[in-house]
Amino acid sequence: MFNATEFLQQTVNFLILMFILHRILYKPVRKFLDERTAQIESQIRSAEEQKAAADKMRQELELQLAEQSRQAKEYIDQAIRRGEALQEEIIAKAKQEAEEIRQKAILDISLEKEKAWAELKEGVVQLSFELTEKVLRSSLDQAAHQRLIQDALEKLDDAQLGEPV
Amino acid sequence: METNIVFHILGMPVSDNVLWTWIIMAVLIVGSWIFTRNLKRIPTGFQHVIELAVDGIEGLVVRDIGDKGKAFVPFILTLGLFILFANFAGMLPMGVSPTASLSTTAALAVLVFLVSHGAEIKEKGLKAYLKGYVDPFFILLPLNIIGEISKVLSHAFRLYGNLFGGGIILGIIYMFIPYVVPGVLNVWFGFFQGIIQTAVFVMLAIVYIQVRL
Repeated sequence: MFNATEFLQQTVNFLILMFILHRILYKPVRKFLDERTAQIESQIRSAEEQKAAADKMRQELELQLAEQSRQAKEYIDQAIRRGEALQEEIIAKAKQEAEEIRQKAILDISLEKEKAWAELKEGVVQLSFELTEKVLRSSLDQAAHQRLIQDALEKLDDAQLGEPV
Repeated sequence: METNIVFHILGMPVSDNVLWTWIIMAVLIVGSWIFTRNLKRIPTGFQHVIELAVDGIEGLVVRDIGDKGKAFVPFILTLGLFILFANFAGMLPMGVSPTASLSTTAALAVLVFLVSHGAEIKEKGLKAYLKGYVDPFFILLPLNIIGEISKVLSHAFRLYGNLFGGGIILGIIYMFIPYVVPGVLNVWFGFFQGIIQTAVFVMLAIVYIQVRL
């Protein structure tokens, strides 16, 4: 049942087996597992650092984007304001020019009217002279002739043919 | 039951149990050498089993003993692998389970005793270790000594009895109904009992070390 020799042999056998397995099984596998764990931990740390860097970069880009959007909006607002100011300026200038053209046109019309009126009066005087001369050639003296012309001119003024504008 | 001497080396008798122990040692050593030569970062095939064995045993030991238990992992790992293969050896044709011999199980149990008590002496010192035998009263010294011896005996006899008893039951059944039932029983007594008894022996070894530290 119990054999002392076998007991000793098995004890030595087990110790030899433990020594060898420690060298060729436990140590290499443990070392391999430790290295793999270290690698995985390193990769996880690296991934976390990269994620943190990416998050930081994303936040910076978002801030830049917001700043650029704000600047773009400001530029657009400025452009709109400048456009509106320019528009008002152009309109005012156009109005002023139109007014100047209108005033000039009125002045031209007035001058033309006065000129026409003067020509008309001169024509009427000339015509009156000729008619009077024909009708009264023989009977009227120079004084009567002058008085008739003066009467004709006054009547012409009283007839209100129009005042120069 | 008489020891079956197979041959002699330099006048030293070699029993079938010792011979099969050498075969198991050779299998374990060669297998370990082959399967640890090219460990891959992403494990495949048998590497899973090796990693599971090393990591599993270390997990058990560290869980029960703590980080200082890592020093005992090679011992517990060897214990587990040797007992498992020794238990399975009985299932092979003409195979002999070395663990079905009291000499083998006693050797293992005594080694567990020496390791656990040696660890205590190293951890607490010889004086504290010896004082433990007279706690709480000096009169309990014989009981404490008997208690420690009983642990070794129960440890050795539990494994031996289960394996030896399983072998006897299988032998008897083989004689009566050799072709039908033995296959199932072989799986039970060889495979499941082999695993269960290995787990029991290893767990007890861990606990014996743990209570001493």
